Amino acid sequence: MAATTADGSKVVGGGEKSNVDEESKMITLFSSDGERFEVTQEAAAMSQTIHHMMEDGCVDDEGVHLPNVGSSILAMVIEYCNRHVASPDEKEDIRSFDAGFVNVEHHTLFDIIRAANYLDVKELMDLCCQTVADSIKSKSVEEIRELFGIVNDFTPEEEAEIRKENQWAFE
Amino acid sequence: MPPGGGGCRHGSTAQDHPPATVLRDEGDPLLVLARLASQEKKQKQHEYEYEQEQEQPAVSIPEGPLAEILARVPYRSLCRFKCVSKPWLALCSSRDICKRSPQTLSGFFYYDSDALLSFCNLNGRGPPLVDPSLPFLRERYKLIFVKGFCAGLLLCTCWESCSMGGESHYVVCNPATKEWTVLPPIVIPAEEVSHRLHPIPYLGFDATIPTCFAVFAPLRKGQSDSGIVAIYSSQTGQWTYVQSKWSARTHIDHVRKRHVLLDGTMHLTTRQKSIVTVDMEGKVWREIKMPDRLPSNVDIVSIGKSQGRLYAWQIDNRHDRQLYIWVLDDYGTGKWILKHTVNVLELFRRPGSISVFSVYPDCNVGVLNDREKIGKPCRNGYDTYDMFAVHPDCNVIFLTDKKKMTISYNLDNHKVEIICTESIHGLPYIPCFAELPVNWSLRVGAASSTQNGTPPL
Repeated sequence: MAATTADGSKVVGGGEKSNVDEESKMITLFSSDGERFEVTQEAAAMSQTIHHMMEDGCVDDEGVHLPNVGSSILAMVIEYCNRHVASPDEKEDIRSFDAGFVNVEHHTLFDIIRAANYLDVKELMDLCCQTVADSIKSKSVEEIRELFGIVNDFTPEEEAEIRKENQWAFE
Repeated sequence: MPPGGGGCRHGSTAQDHPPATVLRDEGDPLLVLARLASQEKKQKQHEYEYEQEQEQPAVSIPEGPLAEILARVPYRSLCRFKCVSKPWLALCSSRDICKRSPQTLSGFFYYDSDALLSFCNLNGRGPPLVDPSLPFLRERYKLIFVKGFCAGLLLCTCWESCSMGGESHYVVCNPATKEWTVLPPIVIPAEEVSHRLHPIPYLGFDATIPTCFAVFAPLRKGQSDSGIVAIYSSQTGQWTYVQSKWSARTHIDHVRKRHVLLDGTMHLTTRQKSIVTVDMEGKVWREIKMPDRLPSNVDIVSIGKSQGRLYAWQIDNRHDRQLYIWVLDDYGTGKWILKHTVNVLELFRRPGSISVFSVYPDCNVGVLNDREKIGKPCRNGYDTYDMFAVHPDCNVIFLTDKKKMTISYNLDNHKVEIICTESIHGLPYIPCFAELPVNWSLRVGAASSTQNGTPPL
């Protein structure tokens, strides 16, 4: 899906090199580890963060630096945005794309969520948060702690108290 | 606006907006601690993550996105997750998250054998999710009588004094949020005062539209309906009095008081094989007739709402105890479809008790109905069964033998589960954490002095 051009930068998605048309104008994104990504402005605008930067004229000729997003995750986010602007009306296709997209390990999903949160891509946030919510809703308290790397900061008495109050939820 | 949504606008540091964790019991030390701890932790997490981003991804998620995830987790799971850690306790108790969390049937309010209001959890076990004594109302009211329920709200008649001789108020309350509001009294039109009309209120609330509720109170004149219906809307905060446009021979079944609010329209059952409806403004009146040939000779059905559709059912208690469930397939034309037929006797014989099929292995349904051949369990021939509720989100129904058993039955996989060994004849409760809709300052404890007849605090 990603092609490498002569200067080594990655072109991800269907961007036109000759950009006379406003819509197909390209914008460069830099991941935290220095990788370059060329995206259409339309796809980039799915990120409210980038969209506001573009509107406020904060994007210089170089492009947008995203020090909080690693390249592998940024590539995935871009793939999502490209897919969603390409054919927004084909609901069935998009649904199956989304299902495949979130079929990843939890820690990757968490990374995507953090990136989508930082980039403010609402649809991607909704999709990933719903996916995580669906996968954790039947988990036990211990499993949740393990998954999220949480240390139990309750005393045994405190935890017992809360458990008792919410007994109905444990049955 | 979801809590914690949105990343940073410009610049290079990631800063999530602090989630709007609104806690009801602000004084609770555990929650205050949790809030402080969570803020501190969030701060540390930002610094940690910014540094760690280059190396390996941190396992945890910052609080903003975590709130987004938890808001999509069903309420029951949220309550379990309160035990995970102190920050999670704060998040899972937060009103904003509970408001968005998908709610579903959690239990039933019902009157027990001593005529006391009780609450039974959906699985029949454990301390009740809701305290049926409604302690948050007891600070002001000495006598409380629950008149009706609808989804997550209750309608009560309350007295501040200990005797019913004094003035009573209609109070609508939400046991999940402990909010309540007093309705203005119903004012009987002057020309009708001599007729001694009394209202029979029906509460209408749709949790998917929590911004308003309504109370429909047909005014009765003795044993019949006067034709006047008082309608209260939380949006106006007033009662309006409208003349009913249902046919004159309509007799609402005020005994069982089955009612459903669907798409902003109140549905009530009649004694003439029909359902009458009226919208919240009292402008559109309809009568939906049941199919002509009802299997039993009883002209009354029970109604409920499931998966956005209107359900009607009745059990032929005089004959074979068959349960018939119809679904209103076409609301516009009033076309019903008989969706399910269930042998209720068979359901109640299945769990626990000596199965007729094990004693007589070659039994078939024909023999089952032949009472002389089968030694029945100790019951007389006049057992009546009742289906008292349908699950709002799936094909599960709830039945009782009105003596000592309440069960749930899954219409899809035919699984029977015993809820409890007592008869619950109640109405479904679905918690709702939205703010109680009121349009003036008549909130917890405060009374508006412009109200007619309501004593100021």
